[in-house]
Amino acid sequence: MSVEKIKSMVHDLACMLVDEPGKIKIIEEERNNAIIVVISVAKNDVGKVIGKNGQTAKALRALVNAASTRMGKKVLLEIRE
Amino acid sequence: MIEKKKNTNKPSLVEATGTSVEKALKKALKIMGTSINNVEVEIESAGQKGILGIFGARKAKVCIRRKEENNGAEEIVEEIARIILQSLGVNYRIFSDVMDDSVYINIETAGVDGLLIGRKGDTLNSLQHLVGRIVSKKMGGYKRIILDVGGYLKNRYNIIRKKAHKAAERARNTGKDVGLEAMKSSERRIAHIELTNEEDISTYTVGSGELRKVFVALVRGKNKGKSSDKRS
Repeated sequence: MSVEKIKSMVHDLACMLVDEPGKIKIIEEERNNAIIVVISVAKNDVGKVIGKNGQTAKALRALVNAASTRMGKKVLLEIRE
Repeated sequence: MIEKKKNTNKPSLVEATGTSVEKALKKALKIMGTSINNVEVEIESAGQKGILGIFGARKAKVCIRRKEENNGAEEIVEEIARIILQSLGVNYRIFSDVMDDSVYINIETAGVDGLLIGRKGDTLNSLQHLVGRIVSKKMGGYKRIILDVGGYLKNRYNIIRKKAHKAAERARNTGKDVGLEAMKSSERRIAHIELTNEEDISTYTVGSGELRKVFVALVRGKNKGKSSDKRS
């Protein structure tokens, strides 16, 4: 249930970063005891979510990390086209 | 000519023409690089289609004015804080203030300050980056925003100011250059600014990336002979 909250947080933040918020999709995968939140955005928006030197991606991951430590689970963030 | 304005600075007022009011408005918004929510619109002339779109056609003209900027930034930060803190499930309060040339926004949370600040302020730095990105996208211009959590930055900046003065004192006493600890760019900025008022002290930086340090040096003044023994 709390993973849903992380997903909605990532979704809402990404919406504010990209040009085509309608194309954002968030799915959830599980691998090696870790939950992976996968965000896919429009082709032209990938760079905006990643940012210069991965700065923006790093920031999003930091927030996902902060939220996941609070609920005691390992959650990773992946960005796809 | 309007195109030039786009690159030189962020215009607060833009006029544009087009074959319809809608097109003119779209053009004006593009020049300002913002969305309809951030501006006040004034239609100066509605335009006329004319016969066959050629004879007697008059172009539509609109004028848009950017809304008050500070409020915009605060609202956006509030929105971001709401998104993040609701997903963490904690209560929070937001205070904002104007500091010199920037907007200072402090978020106080119920018990997760440390989580949002991170090790040495890393998470806070990330937050700051995100907020900067989103604000500049939504408002179409750069605005210096200092985002703080639980007064952490204010505290940190005060410590840096004190350390800078101590280093200046040591430089005066020993005549040697005194290095401060390695700091982030925003923190080095505070150290540099703090010592600009001290006329006998100059500052410079050495190193790159995480290891970049501010050095505090005594200006040897008119005594040219002595200034040549500067260590590197």
